[in-house]
Amino acid sequence: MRYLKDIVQYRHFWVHLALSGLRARFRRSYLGIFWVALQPLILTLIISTVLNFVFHMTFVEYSIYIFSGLIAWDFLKGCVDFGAASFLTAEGYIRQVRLPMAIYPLKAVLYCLIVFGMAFGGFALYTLLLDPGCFSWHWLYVFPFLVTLVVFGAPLAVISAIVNIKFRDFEQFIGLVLQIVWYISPVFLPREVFDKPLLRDWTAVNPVAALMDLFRQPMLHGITPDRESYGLVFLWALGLWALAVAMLARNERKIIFYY
Amino acid sequence: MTIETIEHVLPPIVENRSNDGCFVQLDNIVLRYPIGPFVKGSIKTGLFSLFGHTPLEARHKRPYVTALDGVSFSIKRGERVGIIGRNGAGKSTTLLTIAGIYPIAGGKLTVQGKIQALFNIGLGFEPDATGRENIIYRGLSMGCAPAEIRERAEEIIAFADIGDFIDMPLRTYSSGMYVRLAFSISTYLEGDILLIDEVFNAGDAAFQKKAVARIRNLVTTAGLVVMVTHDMSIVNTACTRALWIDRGRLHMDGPAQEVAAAYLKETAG
Repeated sequence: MRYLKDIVQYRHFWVHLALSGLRARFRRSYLGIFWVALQPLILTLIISTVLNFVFHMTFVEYSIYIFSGLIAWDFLKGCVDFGAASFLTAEGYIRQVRLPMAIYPLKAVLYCLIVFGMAFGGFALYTLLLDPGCFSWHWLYVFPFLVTLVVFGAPLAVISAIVNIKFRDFEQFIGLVLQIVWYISPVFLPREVFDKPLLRDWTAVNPVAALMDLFRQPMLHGITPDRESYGLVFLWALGLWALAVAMLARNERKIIFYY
Repeated sequence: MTIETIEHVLPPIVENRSNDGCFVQLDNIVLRYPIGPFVKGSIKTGLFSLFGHTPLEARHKRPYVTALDGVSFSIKRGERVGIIGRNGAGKSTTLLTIAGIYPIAGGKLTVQGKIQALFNIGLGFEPDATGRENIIYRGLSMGCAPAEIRERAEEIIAFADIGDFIDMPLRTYSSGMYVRLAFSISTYLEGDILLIDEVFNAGDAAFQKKAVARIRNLVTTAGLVVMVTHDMSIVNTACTRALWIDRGRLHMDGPAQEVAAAYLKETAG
């Protein structure tokens, strides 16, 4: 409890760190913060064009599907990547002041959340322009979805941070793992591919697939997100949190020795 | 298994607090620095060991270095303590232990009060952010409320005296400007306990004079000051007491001039 209180007490600090990370990323860039939405947009256009050309998929519908997948994926990938780097980049603070270690991966999650929020703005605009029919009051489900994303992404960031400070191979290795997960999750390939016999069992337990469904059901199809997907994601999150808390309790004070 | 009996208090956000009760107490502190993470090596060193090369890990008898070995002292409010000793004696480690950065392997550490640390000029600053922004980051990392930092910002800027550079990114600073700003931030954002590790060297003579004077006056704002330095003139002029640390043990503790003189005598001979 004391630990949580400290995290809250130092909120100004880690919120500032997240914002300064954002400022640093786009410092002196002409398009600046717009890149957050432009990057997934351009990637969407490229993938949609290729798949439209090769598989004759409907461009508009499919591009909205991909755009939504990419921005949600970027959040998860960001939690792992920025989480992994979070203790290393905070070396200056860690060596200077004793603060709860969890604030550094949490800062990374906050950063990813802000990026997601802005990318979502781009996504909403894109959908409004190309397929206004998608809009409905179901879009309000984005709020519970955000909570779900953070609940799932935060322990990922904490775990990555701790593993990476102890084993620097992690950063190299996790990129490959993420690449594999990206291919076997409904990020850009059509959803129905993942219900085929070969992938069906995996999809049933894949938290990324469940998260994508929770995002797309209200946004793209105007339906209420299904409970099974919520259940699956929270079950995963519970396991991840248990692991993250145990790792943090064990390593909190030792992190300083790994620089 | 190591027993950790640390009673470290994270600096609370309290405005208008008084530093009456601040103190630092070390009872038989043992600090072991694990060397595992550095000597574990990579697959490359593993392969070399096949050809008879002794890996670093095997060359060390114990998996740790004892950096502090039964150090005890206490510092009361109003003291300005200089820590002196040879390179690698454990001076900076002592300071970092007080700050709660290192976990201790034995003994008891009690720190009462809000800590303000100035360990390494380059650390804890965002090179891409401006001087003004860095004042805010530093303050926030100490647990100061944003309003409190804004209140003090002008004083900090005035003391640092680096002109228009305050609105430029830190990357553009000379090392002297860095010291001026860092020193200024650390001494003006009120902490009860100020810990300083050799930061006087980089500023020019005029600033050094100003800095030493500031340290001397600090007891009025900071409750107590602990600094590590190799410069005996600073110990003589700015400190009331000195601790001489040698090979992780407290070698001598007494009035600043006496300890400094004894240290100089031994190192000269």
